[in-house]
Amino acid sequence: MTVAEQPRIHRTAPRRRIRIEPFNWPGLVAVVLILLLWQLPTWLGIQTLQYLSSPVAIIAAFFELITTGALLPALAHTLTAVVVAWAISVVVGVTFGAILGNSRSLATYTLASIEVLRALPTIAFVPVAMLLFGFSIDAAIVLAVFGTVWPVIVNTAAGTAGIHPRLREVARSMRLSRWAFMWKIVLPAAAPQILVAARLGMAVAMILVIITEMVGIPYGLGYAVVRSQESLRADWMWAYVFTIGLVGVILNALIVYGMKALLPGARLGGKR
Amino acid sequence: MTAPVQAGSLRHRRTALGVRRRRRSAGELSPLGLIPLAVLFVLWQLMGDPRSIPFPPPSTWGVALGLLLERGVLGGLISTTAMTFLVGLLIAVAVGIVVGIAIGSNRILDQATSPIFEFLRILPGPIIVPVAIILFGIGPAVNIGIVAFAAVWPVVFNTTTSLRTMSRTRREVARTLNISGVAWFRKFLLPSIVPGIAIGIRVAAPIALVVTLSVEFITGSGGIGSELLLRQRQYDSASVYGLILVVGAIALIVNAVLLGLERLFLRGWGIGGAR
Repeated sequence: MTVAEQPRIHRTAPRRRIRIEPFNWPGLVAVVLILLLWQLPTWLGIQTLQYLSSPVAIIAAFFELITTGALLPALAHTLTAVVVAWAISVVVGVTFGAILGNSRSLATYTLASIEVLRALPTIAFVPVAMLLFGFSIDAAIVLAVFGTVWPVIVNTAAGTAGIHPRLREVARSMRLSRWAFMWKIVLPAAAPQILVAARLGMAVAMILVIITEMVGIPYGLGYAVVRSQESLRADWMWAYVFTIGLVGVILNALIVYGMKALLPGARLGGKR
Repeated sequence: MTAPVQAGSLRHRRTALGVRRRRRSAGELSPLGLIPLAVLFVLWQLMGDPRSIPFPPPSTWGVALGLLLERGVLGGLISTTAMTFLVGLLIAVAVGIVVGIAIGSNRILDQATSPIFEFLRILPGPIIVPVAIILFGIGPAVNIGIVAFAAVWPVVFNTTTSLRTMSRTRREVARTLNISGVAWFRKFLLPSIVPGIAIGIRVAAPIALVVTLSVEFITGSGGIGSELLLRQRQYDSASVYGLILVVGAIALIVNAVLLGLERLFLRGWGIGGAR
């Protein structure tokens, strides 16, 4: 099976890469323009908003924070919490989702509960996580898993339940084992929906970790932003905020790239 | 208007041919599915220790909420939070639709704004709170502005996308029939973007609620979020769970209202459940 699949993967991969969009020049121009507009008042010596640091000052603050060793531990704390929580959610969520998607009776008796839990704004549980775990990274991780795992379960269940009946017949006529059926047919068929959930899940995990750091545990980028704001170091605050944004962009790109490498044929769905 | 009608009937025909199974499992939920949650609550009530700090049994939540209601605090908390949330969401929707239409109908503008908007969309909503505080200070208007800023991106994105993916046939029909101005807006533009806007609002509403709560967490400016954190610091966990219940009820109500509105609107436009 693997030998037969190999050439197909190689054939599809380059074809996808050719379809890369042309470079977005208007986007680059707009970014440069905005940065210039932002920097201009400082160069001209005009006072605008007091705490709107200029881009040059923010970049300086960024390198200052790196050299003083303030940025990297905060970044490590946030990244660890986000990635660990996301990985746990995806593994647990896909496993349970696949089980639910293949068992009608189990789905009937659980899905409504999951929908209720999913609809709750997990952020309201920040105080509970604090009561349970105090000022530790566990509070952030557990909270992020609690917020991320439900959408992954629901999407995986919907994806696996919705695979075409003919695929089940194919599996039966090929006498695939239950495990092989799951691994070779169900998961690839449900992949697009799982991927969408995984991408969303990363964003949700990030939000929950950051807010826990901002409100509760005194570590990480979220705490660093709040502390810089309170001590009126706007330049530090902006540097931390942009770091958070960059981390989000990079993690998102890694997931999309990883998924494309893993499943060259899968459509990644909307960018929602 | 022929295209959407066809799409609708096609969907129905497909359902009749036997994809019904999938529809039911994805759409309607059996109320039997609430059993695990109910069992959990009953067990929690029966086996929970009323003096437990992390896990007080459900009956104590009711008592704590009753106390808040008696002291006349609960109504004020809910209205403060609901106000920030609703006004913020409304502004986000209004601004999002206008910006979305503007960007979606101009290719260069779309390309020019996409990197910046992409960055802002990925930025976690709560991080805007300290930035807004240091720039604009604290106050109800700032809170609303923060919520609107965080919730506007899904509306913009989905409006733009639905315009971009508007079928060529539909554009050409409009040109062939020589329809322009108000009629074009009402008969071609709106039916094309309303489903996208509906999805955008559905995505934006939970974000708005999350950011409303985080604003209240961080600024302590009143509302359910501030009270939640205050109660946690006093180890009054029964009130914490009671307030979470209130937040959950708000979230479920918002979800149900939006779902109802969406169905109403989409049916009014003759689009059915098109996604």
